Amino acid sequence: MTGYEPILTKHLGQPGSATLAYYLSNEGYKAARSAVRDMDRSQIIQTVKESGLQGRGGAGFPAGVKWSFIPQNSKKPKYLINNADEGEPGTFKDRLLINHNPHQVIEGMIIAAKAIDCHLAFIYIRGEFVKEARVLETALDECYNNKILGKGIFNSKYNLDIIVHRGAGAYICGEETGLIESLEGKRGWPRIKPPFPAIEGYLGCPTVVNNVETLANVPHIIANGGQWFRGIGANPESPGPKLYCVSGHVKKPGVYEGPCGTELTTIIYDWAGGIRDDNKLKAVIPGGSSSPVLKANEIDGLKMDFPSVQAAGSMFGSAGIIVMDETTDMVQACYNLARFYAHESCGQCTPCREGTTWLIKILDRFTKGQGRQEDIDLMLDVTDNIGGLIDLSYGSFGKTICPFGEAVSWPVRAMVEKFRPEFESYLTEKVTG
Amino acid sequence: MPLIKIDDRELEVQAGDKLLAVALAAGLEIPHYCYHPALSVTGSCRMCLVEIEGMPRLQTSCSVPVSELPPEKKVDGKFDMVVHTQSEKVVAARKLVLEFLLLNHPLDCPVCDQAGECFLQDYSFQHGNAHSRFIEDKRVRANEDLGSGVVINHNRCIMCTRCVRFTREIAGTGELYVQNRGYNNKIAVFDSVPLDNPLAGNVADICPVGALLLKDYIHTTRFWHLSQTPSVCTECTAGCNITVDAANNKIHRIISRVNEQANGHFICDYGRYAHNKYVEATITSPLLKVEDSWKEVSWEEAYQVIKDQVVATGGGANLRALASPVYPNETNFLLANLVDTVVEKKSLALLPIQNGDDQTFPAGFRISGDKGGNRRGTEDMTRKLTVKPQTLFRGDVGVLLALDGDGRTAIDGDVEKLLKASPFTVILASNMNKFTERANLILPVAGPFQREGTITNDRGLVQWLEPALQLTGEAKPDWQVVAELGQLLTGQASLYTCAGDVTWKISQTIAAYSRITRFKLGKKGQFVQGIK
Repeated sequence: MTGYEPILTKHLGQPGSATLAYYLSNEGYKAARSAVRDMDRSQIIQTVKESGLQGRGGAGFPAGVKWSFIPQNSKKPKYLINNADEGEPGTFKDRLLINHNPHQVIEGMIIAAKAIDCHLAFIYIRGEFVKEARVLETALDECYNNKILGKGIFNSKYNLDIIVHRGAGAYICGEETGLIESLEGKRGWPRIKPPFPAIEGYLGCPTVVNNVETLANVPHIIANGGQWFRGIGANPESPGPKLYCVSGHVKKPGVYEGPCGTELTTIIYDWAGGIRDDNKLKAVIPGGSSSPVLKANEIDGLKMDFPSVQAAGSMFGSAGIIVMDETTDMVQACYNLARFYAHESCGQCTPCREGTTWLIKILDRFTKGQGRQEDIDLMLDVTDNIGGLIDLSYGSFGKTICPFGEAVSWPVRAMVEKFRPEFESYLTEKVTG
Repeated sequence: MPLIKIDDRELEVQAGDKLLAVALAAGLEIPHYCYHPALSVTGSCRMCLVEIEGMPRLQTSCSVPVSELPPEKKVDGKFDMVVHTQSEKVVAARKLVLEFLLLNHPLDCPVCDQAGECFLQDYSFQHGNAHSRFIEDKRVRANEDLGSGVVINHNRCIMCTRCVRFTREIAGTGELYVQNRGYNNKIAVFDSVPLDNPLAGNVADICPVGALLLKDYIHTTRFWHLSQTPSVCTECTAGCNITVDAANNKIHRIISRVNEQANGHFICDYGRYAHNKYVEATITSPLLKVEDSWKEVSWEEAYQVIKDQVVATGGGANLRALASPVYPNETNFLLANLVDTVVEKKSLALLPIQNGDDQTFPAGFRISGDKGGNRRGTEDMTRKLTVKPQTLFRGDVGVLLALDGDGRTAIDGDVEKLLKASPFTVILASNMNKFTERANLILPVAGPFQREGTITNDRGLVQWLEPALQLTGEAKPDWQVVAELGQLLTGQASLYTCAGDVTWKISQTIAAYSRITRFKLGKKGQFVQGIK
C-alpha cells in the first residue's frame, strides 16, 4: 500500500473513533457544513458528478447522475435511503464503516440529502446488524444534540431528520425497490422498473438509494473536490478509494482499503498474505457472490475497477473477494452458493422462484453421486432461463424483475462452465461423504 | 398518437397505455397470468414477455407503456414501437416459463375443475413442451379451506398473486397474503382470520388455474358440460353482469361477466350464490287455495276462476294490482297497461321489497341495499299509474293481481291491509314463500334465471335478461301470463309473440326507452335516454 493514505478507514482503530467528539476534532462535518450553508443543489451534484464516484453497492451507477434524476420541480417530498442491508456473501465493508466511523456515513447522508432537497432520510440496516444499529442510533443522538440534525442544522434554514430502520434479514431487501417496499412495511418484493425510484420510490415519491460506502465517500469529495477524487486510482473512469473485502483461503482475510484499480494479485498476495498453507490458487470470485467466478489464470494483471473486471467477464460488484484454493471442491462450492440463492429468492418471479430450487435439486443429486450427463447442460439451460446468458455489455439482462436472477445464474453458470470436468468427475467417480 | 406494430398488426394507440392491454383490446393474444385489467401490474409471472426492437432484454408487455418517439428515432420512419410476440427468443422464453410453472404442478387435469377453462392447460398446449426435464419429486401440499366457501389447492397454484391483489385492492379486506419465501411461497390467510368478505368468491373467478375453487362448485360437473348464458343479476339494483353456467336445466355456478358500464369485472357473493335460494318449492302448475290447502288446477280453470272472481267482486273497476321490481320491464309494462285499460282510476302500487344498506368497496365496486333488482325499470314502466299502497285498500276492493317478490317481499302494514281487504288475491310466482302463501290463486310463471326481458339498473343501464333455465311443469313466461290476463279481462287479443315484442312496444310508448330494442342492447346494454 505504498503511497496510498487510507481515506475512508483513516481513523479505524483509534480510540473513540465512533464518537462525535473524535470526529469533530478531525475536521468532521466541515464538508457537510459548507454543503448545507454555502452550496446549492446543483453545485453538490456537479462536484460529485465530476468526481466520477460510482455506486459501491455493486451496480456501479454514477452517484451524481443518480441524484440528478430527482425531479427539481416536484412538489412531492424527496427521500434519501442509505442502504446498509449489506447481505452479499463475501461483503463486509459497510458494517466496518458504520462501527468505526458512523459520523462519516451520516455526514455523507447530510450532503446527499441537501443535494436532492430531502428532509427525511432513512438508514435501512440489515436486521442482523444489531450492534451497528445501536452505534448509528448513538451517533444520531449526538448529532441531534449538537444541531447537526433536526431543525435548522448548522444554523442554516435546512432541516433534516434521519431514521434508522432495521430490516428483518432478507437478502432481497438489499435490492433498492425491495428495500423501499420493506421500508413501507410491505413484503420485500422488488418493483418492476420503470418507474425508477428517482421518480416513484418510497411512498411513491422521488427517492435516492445509496450504499453506505458510496455515502462515506461523499464528504471527502466535497472537502477535496471532484478532480482530487478522480485522480485516485489507476482508471479515471472508475476512480476513488475502495474497501476490498477479502475472504476465503487467504492467510489474512479482512477489509483492505486501497485505490480502485489495484491489481487483484496485489490484494490477495501482498495485502492478504497469499493463499493459506501456500496452496495453489484455484479460483476467485471478485465482486461478491453474485459475480461470475474467475479461474486462477484469469486474474493475472486484473485491475480491480468496474470496467476492467467487466472486461474479464465478471463484475467488480461490491469488491467482496472470495478466494478459493486448490483444495476447493467446485461442485460443493456451487451447491453452497446455489443453496444461498434458493433460500433468498423472494419467489415473486416464476423463473427465479422455480429455477433456483430446481438448480439445487440437481446439484443435490450431483453431490450424492446421482448426477446424469445431461444434467450439466440442463443446469446451464436453467441458469439461462433465470438470468439470461452472461452478457455484461447490456447491464441487466435477465428474465426477472430484479437483478437477483442474474445474481444466481451467472455465478452458477460460470462455475459449471469453467469447472465442467469437475462436475463430470462426479458422474464417474464414487462419491464419498 | 403513437403508431405501434405488433407482429403484422399496425395499431394507433394512446401514449402511456400498457402494451398488453393495447394488444388484448385489439384482439391479439399475448399469453399472461398475473396481469388482470382490474388489478395493479406486478409483472411477475413472466409469461407475457415480448421482444421490442431496440431493447436487448425481453420485456413484460403488461408493464411496458407505449410512448411516442421523436420523428428521427421512429422505427422504419413511422413506428414508435415494433413488437414481436412470436420471435424465436419469445417463443423459447415462453416455453421455459411454462416448464418452470409445471415443475411442481400435479397435472391432475382429469380431476381438476378448471380443466377446459384453464390457462395453464391452454398455454401449455399452445406454447409449452410436451415433456418436462424435471425428474425430481414434486412438492405436495394439502388443500386448505380459506373461508367464505373458497378452497385452495396449493399444488396447482402458480403464484400469480391475482387473488392477493384482489383482496387488497378491490375488496379492501386484505385477508390473503403470500406466506413464506421463494420456493416455499404459498397463498394463505392469517391465523384465525379467514377469507371473509362479500366479494370473496371472485378470487376463484380470477384464478387463472385450478388453485382457488368454490366449495359450492367443486366436483359437481365438468366445464364442457355447461351451457353458458350471458345474463344479468337481479339480486340488487346494481345490475351486475353474470354468466350463468347450467347443465340439464340446473345451475351449477354463476360467474362474473365483464361490463365496464355496470359491475366492471366482479360480482358479489350474494349474486354468485343466488341460484341456491330458488331450488326448493318450485311451483309447477296453477294452484288454487281450497280450504287452506293447495289444489292443482289447469290454466283454463285458473283463468275461469279469475274471470268469475272479477265479476263477483264488482268487475274490473275494482281491480287492484301490485307491480314487482324483481320482474322485467315487459311484465310490469303489461301489468300497467292492463290496469290502465280496465280500471279508471289509478290502482297500482309497487310491491315493497326488503331494503338494506349499500356497500361500497375501495375500488368502487358496490352492492346496492335495494334488493328490488329492476326498481328503476319498474318505476319507469308504471310511473303514470302508481299510487301509494295505502290508497289501494280504500273503497271497494276487488281482485288483487300481484307479481311476486321472489321471497324478498317486505310484507308491511299496507300490504297486510291490502291482502286482508282483497276478496281474492292472484299472485304470479315461481316459488312458494311467505307472500305467495297469502294468495287465493297462484299462477306459475318464470322464476329467477328463467325470466326474459329488459331490466334497468339504478344508473339507468338497460340490459337484456337472458333466461338460463327452461320453465318447469306448466309454468309460462311471466310477460305472457300478464298478456293473457289482459286478453281475459279486456277482451282484446294479445299482439305479442315474444318478450322482444313487448320491448318494442315499450320503445314506442315510453320516451326514455325509445331507442331500446332487444337487438340493440347486445351483451353490454344501453342507457335510457337522457343519461350519459
